[in-house]
Amino acid sequence: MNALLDQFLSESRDFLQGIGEKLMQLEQFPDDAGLMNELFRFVHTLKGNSGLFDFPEMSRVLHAGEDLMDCVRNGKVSYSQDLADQLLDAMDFVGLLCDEIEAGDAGNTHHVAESVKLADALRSLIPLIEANKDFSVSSNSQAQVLNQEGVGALTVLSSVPWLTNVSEQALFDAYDHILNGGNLHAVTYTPIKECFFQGDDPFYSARMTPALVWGGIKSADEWPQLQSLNAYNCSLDFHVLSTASKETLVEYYRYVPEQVVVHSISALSLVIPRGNPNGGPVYEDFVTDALLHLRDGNIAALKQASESMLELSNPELWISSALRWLLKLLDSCPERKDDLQSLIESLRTLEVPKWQNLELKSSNAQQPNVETFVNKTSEPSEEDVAALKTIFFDQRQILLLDDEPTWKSGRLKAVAGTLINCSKALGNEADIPSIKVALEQALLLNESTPILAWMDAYDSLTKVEKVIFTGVIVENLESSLLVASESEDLLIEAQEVVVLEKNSETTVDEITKFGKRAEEGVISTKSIKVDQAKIDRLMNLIGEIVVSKNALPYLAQRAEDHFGVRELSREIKAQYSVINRIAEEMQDAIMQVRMMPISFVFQRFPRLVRDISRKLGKEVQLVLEGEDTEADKNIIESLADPLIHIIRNSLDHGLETPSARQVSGKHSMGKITIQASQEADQVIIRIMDDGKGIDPSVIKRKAYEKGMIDEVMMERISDIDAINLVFAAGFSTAEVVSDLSGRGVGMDVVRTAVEGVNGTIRLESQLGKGTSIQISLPLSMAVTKVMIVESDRQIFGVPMDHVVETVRVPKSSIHTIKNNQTAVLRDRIIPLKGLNALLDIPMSQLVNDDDEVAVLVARVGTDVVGLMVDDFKETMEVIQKPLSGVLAGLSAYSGSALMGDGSVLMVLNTRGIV
Amino acid sequence: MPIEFKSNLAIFQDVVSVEEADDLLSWLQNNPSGKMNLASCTHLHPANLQVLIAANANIVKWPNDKSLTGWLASVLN
Repeated sequence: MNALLDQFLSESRDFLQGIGEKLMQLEQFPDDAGLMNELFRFVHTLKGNSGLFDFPEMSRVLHAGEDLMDCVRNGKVSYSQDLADQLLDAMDFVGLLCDEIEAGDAGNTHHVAESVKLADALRSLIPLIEANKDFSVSSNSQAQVLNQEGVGALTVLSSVPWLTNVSEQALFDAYDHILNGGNLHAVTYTPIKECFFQGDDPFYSARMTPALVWGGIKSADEWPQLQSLNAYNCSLDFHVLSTASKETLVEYYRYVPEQVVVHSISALSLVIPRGNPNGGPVYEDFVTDALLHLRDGNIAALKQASESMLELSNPELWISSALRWLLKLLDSCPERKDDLQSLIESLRTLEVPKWQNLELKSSNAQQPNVETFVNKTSEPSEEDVAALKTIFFDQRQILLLDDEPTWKSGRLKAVAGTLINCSKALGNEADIPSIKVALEQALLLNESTPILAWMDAYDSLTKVEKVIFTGVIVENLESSLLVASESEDLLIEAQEVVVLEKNSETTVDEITKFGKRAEEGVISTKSIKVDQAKIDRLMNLIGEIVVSKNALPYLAQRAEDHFGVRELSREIKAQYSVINRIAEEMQDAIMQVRMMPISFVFQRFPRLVRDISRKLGKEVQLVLEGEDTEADKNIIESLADPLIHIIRNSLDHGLETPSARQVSGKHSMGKITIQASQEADQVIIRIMDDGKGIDPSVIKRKAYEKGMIDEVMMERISDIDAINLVFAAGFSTAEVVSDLSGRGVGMDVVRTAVEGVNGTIRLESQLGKGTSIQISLPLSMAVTKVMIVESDRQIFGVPMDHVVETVRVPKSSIHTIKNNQTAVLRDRIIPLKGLNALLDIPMSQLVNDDDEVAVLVARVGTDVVGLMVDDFKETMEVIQKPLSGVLAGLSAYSGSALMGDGSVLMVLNTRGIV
Repeated sequence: MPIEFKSNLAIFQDVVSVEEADDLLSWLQNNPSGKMNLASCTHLHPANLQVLIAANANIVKWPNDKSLTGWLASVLN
């Protein structure tokens, strides 16, 4: 997971929390415009953030929420409890998505339907006028209606009228595919009118549908005159037959779920004879013969008759098409006599056989009662009957399970509940008491037989079920059903039915799931947000532990020296080493908390480089390396500005224009490399470009012109020192001041910022080849390693970063040049300064027995100075505190630290005293 | 140019994007009997398709891309 996503998730949680709180507050003060604005801002920001990632479900819901809040904010909708509920539901949903994304479960599609529903629910609260204005509200009435029905967005149970447009060959192929156990889906994609403006190419989307079998387009019936045509209003529907699974299709169309309807297609619904009716139905002879053959079970004769009839007929005719289908059915499923019969009978009317009606009709013929049943009820539609069949089949399978679970009574109640609901749905309220009676008996006997008996009785009454059962359920199959579906009977006529009730059950589940989230109250997250002040306090406390543990060795020493108890001294030392280890680990752990990857700073550079290089007309390739290097938060943050300055400089002054680069034989595209790495306790950042480099002579001249160096210096200064003059205050080489650089503050500011966090900066450049800037920063600012020196019986600390070496110089080797003491060290002349003299202590420096002076060679900026002290002590890690109050103005010291024995150590600022 | 307009013939090339729809529309307004050669067309944005449908355009050559032809034939015939 990348850092940006991490941050998004953590921020989203905050926003969700904030939204929840604001909604609660609004319940008390519904008229508070401030609260309302804040709430809108939360939703708005959250939506904006989600757009950075590929989470269409989340964006969809948030977008709807934002629209709604906008209306509320503008007073078009008044705040209500209902609105808060909807919004909280939506936010719980977003929270759920966040959890899934965090669990690495992003990109799955099982929430598409819910997101559409939630979004619709939110939008339904927006007044109609507003909704019409909104592009994202589907203007397609069909899709709207389907959604309002509460059926999952992408699946509905109904026939697909455009199947008649599909070529017969494609239908044949699809039919074979289903018979071979494949599935087939019809996708009706009705893009919204404005989709072209949103950059969609629905035609392309449709063409790219996975596992496409057939595709067609339906245009509006009437088109305006060319003069008044608006070609950018989409009035096309796209129809696709695909053998992909429903999940695949839902995934593919996840950006436009409200514009797409996916139907499961059964093999029989593909049997659509078509063609020239040739003067109407005149095939009674053939029909009578064929039906006779069928009744006698003489499939071979029927086949032969059909074949010869087909040969006699013009292939373009309706009858030929029907016969081709008949032959296909005879080949694939000769045992399906009812279906064959209805197909043959269709020759009498030349109408596509109505398969589902067929089943009803045959029942009617045998059982006149049904008519009253049908009349009595509110005439269940074909879909209802199919669904009912499936439900009955399911329930029967459940009842027939021969295990004896302890929850059997619950199971019986559930089955009875389902049956009661079915009766209610069909308007058969009269059946409910009998179901209840059956249930009571069943519970009494702890057996399912009474309910089964009721179902048998009901079946025999309605004949809903007795026809060979065909349901193959798509979702949530009980294992027993899987076994059942393997039996041959179920193979064909696979009228795929998504049980309406199952759908609604899952939705209920989901809703309770959201509800529960609110009840649980605890959202477990892997990260917690902590106020930096708290971490600083921890840091201070561990600092104090480090200091007080450092007192133990002194104590051990005292025990031995003053009291002469060596044994105790040893034990104290042993104890010390334990405490020391724990304290160090603790310190390390707290530092880890403050660590941040440097990518936080690097992230913004690609955009920065792109924008600036465009502006300057340069071609630049940016290479980022070591982005996961970590350092203290303060250090990382202090780096941001200096790095921007440096990169701007590289782009502006360093890299040449493409043409200039080509002239000098370089690739026209310049390259800037930003490299971060960790070396010991330092973070090293190198910024390298392959530009024209810095000409030391130009720098020298400029520096001289500005009076920063004198003539002698100009002659003597080395090239490397010269180019480092760019860090001096007020230095600029740019001839013209631009908005990018040239004001002479850049590099000076960079140096100050880097030194502010105890870092160093170094610049190297080769004329014509490029420039490299190296910034070294401490990993953490909390602990400073200092060397302790003694002077006039006082101790002082010198940061180890500034210490070059410590030497003892014989007094005889010290020469005085123009009142300045100097010594030659490693072939260099080093100026020597007495620490006492610098601090105005009226004592001369002490020497050791061999008449040698202790010299600490320290780096001061780019210079090296020898500090004469009385003696060197150990180096140690201290928690340095800046000087405060009246002492804050003392430039000689960078801070103070507490020693283990309780004394205060003043840490010298070498730059300040020399 | 994805669409090359000759005096009375529009030749579609490769992918015809949404930007072409305006040009196509105005060309067809001026040349109502203009002929369309889609042979080298591999995809056209539906805005263009809508212009062709509305103008009842005379397509003299269908795309060599059989799948595209299948799609277009379902609505242009």
